[in-house]
Amino acid sequence: MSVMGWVAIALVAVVVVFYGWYVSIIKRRNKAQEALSGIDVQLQKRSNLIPNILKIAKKFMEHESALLTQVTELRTKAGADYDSSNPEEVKAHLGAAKELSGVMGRLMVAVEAYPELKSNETMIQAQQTYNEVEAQIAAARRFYNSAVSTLNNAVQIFPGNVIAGMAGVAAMPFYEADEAARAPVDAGDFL
Amino acid sequence: MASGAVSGFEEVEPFEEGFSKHYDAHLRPHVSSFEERRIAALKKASRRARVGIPLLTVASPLLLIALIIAVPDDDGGLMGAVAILIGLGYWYISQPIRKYKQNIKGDIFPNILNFLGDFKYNPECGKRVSTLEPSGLVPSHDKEASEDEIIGTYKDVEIDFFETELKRRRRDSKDRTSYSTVFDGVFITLSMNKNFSGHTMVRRDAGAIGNWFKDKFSKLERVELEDPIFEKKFQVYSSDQVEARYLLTTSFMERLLDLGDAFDSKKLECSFYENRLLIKIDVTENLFEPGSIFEPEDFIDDAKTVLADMHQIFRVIDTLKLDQNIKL
Repeated sequence: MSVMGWVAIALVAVVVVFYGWYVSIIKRRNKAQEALSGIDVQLQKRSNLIPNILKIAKKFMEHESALLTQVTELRTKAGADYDSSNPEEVKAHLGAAKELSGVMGRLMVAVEAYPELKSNETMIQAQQTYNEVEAQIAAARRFYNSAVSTLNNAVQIFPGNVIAGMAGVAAMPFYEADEAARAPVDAGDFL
Repeated sequence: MASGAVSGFEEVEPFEEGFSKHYDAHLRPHVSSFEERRIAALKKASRRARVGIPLLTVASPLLLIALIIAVPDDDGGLMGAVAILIGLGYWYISQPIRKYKQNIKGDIFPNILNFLGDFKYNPECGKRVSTLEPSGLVPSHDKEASEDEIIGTYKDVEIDFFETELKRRRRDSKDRTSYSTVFDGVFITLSMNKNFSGHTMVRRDAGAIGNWFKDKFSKLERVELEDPIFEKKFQVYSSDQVEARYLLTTSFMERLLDLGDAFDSKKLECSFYENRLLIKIDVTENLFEPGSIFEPEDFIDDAKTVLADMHQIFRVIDTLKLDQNIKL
């Protein structure tokens, strides 16, 4: 075979490898975006639940008005539209969701200080549903982080970074758990 | 042996606590009657053995010689005929013992299980595994022998347990049929403290090549979890990536690893489907079997066996904390 023939074979091989790599990066990006939409489904469930919790809480928690206002504001912020293909917007969206988790966690702890509210049947049910939704969010977050980890490895390691740059695919942010949720519980706080 | 001569039940293990009273009230009254039955069964079996064993000793070689003369170019079928004859002889001689043991299982085991709560025990449960096919854990098989079905509730968790041996038919180059065991163990179905609609399977690690084949040919999607120790021992497949993680929380993974340590993770697989959890464990030991017929009957061995075997089932629930409706 002539030199030109070998060069042609090599070029075809490069194109095939390049295309395969490109397909794999796009698949991983789509997977990460699918996982992100999974998180949004759960966040929406939580968002729908919050007004009911606030409605009950307002009846009993007169001294926590600042906290309740903060929950309302963060709920609006977390529910704002964003571009799922823009990593910065995704980061801001997940950051707001994380903040809302933290404030809701504080609200749930504050409920403990109001025995009437704590034993209210509607509140108990709302808390159980809330815990359930939080568990679903945690599961969706783990799937998202797993998909993002795979994507980021693909787009940050050579030659994936070159192909990703040409395809316009960027690394995506992780959805980190709320710091308060990860902190060890101090039993003294509840005594 | 008269019931008065029977020593009481000695509580040794923590799970036997309180059983001695139950023993005195529900088992001790049956001891003398079963002791009579045991002696009668042994006498009957030994009478049959006295006649049957010499008969078989003489008849088997004679049958073999006769068959060799009749069919000189046989390639193994004659030995099969002799083996069948010996098998039939053994079945006939041991039949009184088997009947006695069946009576123990049918009449005494339920009395032992009553101590633990409202459990239904069925020693001969017929074919059961077909109902578990949707779990994806039932290996392809042609023969099923299931027994010792136990249905009940422990700490509000519904239990459906049975032992089974599954065999697959094989044909060799000479078109002879044989059966090989593809699974020998137990299936435990448990109600779950979480609601789910998809299908998630936790399979034992099959090595790099085995896992690659499973990934390629499984109808379910591979789920890669964060726990490296868990990932080393198990492979997870699911119809829903988020639901798999909802069920297999980091703490639940830890508990499954604990269960793997208790039963050997190479022998353990499970499947979350139809809102329940099915656990499949390879157990070569035959569970829920009465004690030796050659020992005087007092049901103490039987009780200790049943309580220990049930403790193993309860340990699954306790280890996985399925009774805790923590929603996390």
